[in-house]
Amino acid sequence: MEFLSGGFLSALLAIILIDLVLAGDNALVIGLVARHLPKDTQRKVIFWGSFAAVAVRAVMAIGVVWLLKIPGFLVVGGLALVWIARKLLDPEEAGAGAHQLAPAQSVAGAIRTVIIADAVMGVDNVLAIGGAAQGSILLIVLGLLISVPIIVWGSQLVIRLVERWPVVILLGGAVLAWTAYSMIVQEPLLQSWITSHPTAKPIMATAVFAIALAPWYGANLRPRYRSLTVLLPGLLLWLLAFEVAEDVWHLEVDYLEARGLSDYAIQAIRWLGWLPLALAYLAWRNRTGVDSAATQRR
Amino acid sequence: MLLCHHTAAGKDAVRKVSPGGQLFVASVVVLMLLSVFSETWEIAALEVEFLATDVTLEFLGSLGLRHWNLIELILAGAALALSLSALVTSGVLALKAMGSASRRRPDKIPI
Repeated sequence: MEFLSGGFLSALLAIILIDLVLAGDNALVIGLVARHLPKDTQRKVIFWGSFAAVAVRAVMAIGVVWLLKIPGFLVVGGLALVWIARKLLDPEEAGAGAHQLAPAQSVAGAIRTVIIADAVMGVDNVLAIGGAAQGSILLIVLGLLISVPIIVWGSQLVIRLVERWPVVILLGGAVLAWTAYSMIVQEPLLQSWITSHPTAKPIMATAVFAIALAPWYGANLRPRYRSLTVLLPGLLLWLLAFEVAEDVWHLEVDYLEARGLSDYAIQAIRWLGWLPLALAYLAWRNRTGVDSAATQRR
Repeated sequence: MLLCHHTAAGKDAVRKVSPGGQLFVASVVVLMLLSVFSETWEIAALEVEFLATDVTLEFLGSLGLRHWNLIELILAGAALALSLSALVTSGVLALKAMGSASRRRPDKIPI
């Protein structure tokens, strides 16, 4: 990637957005862990805790660069980013409630707890930056340098930014979904398969966005249509499965190449076979809705 | 514990974002998907000659979105959202102008 080219600046913009929306609350972690320590000791914990947060990020960034070069890990990282995007848009659904951090009794214990908490908080951020950087070490270093001031000084800035423009979170979710899709299609193990199945790419892209952004469009749907957040990704994965089945079981899934009765039967299953599954899901959903309403009435 | 989830707007961003903001992000997402579809239709048009004459496929393939980077997609999404908002606003104003005035308005001209 050429320095200051359109691609470079776009990746840098994605990294800045990711750093903003996935910034962990390091100050809160240190505050919770060090709350029972004496004041002068708390200052030591704040200094070493912030230093440790930066060091942990740097080590994880090196680790992510190395990991993403291993075949298969781009797909794993991409799928993880889809889940991270969902967690960003709907923290309650992902169970991201208040984490209980026990207060430490010593400086060493406090710093150890802060390092572990930082590592857990920073994985999302580092993985997303690793994916957005597309292998560029310069972009990863820039991403790290941008996240450091946010960790150490910029928490209030981020909170005020999000309070004023909550659209940053939605845009961050969309960029995470885009990064996840880019990582999946760049996987070396899938390159030859994707080249021979060009229709798989739009199906995968739509499925990634449908799953990652489901909390957003689901919130804007009426309750009776919320099952679309499950049916739409399900339908797309069903169609993708037939693209995979073409190679595994040597089926003919291209309707233009269909010749015999078996080919047309496969086409019928491909385009209509998902209907009974969708109806079964809707029936199950209605049943559980009726059961929970009946339980509440009792 | 993400920083952005410490605010009320951050915890419930999917509901707190203004309609204009949601339209902007929706436009960006639509353009991202169109860029992927544009690439596929271009390939499909190359592979299947008789489909290459189809006007729809040619139009979608010629959108030229396949190599757009994120900055271009965001700027185009903003432009699309602004255009749609302007279209809706002008449509609403035109419909209001074409509608008859309330009977009780003092300047209502009796016809």
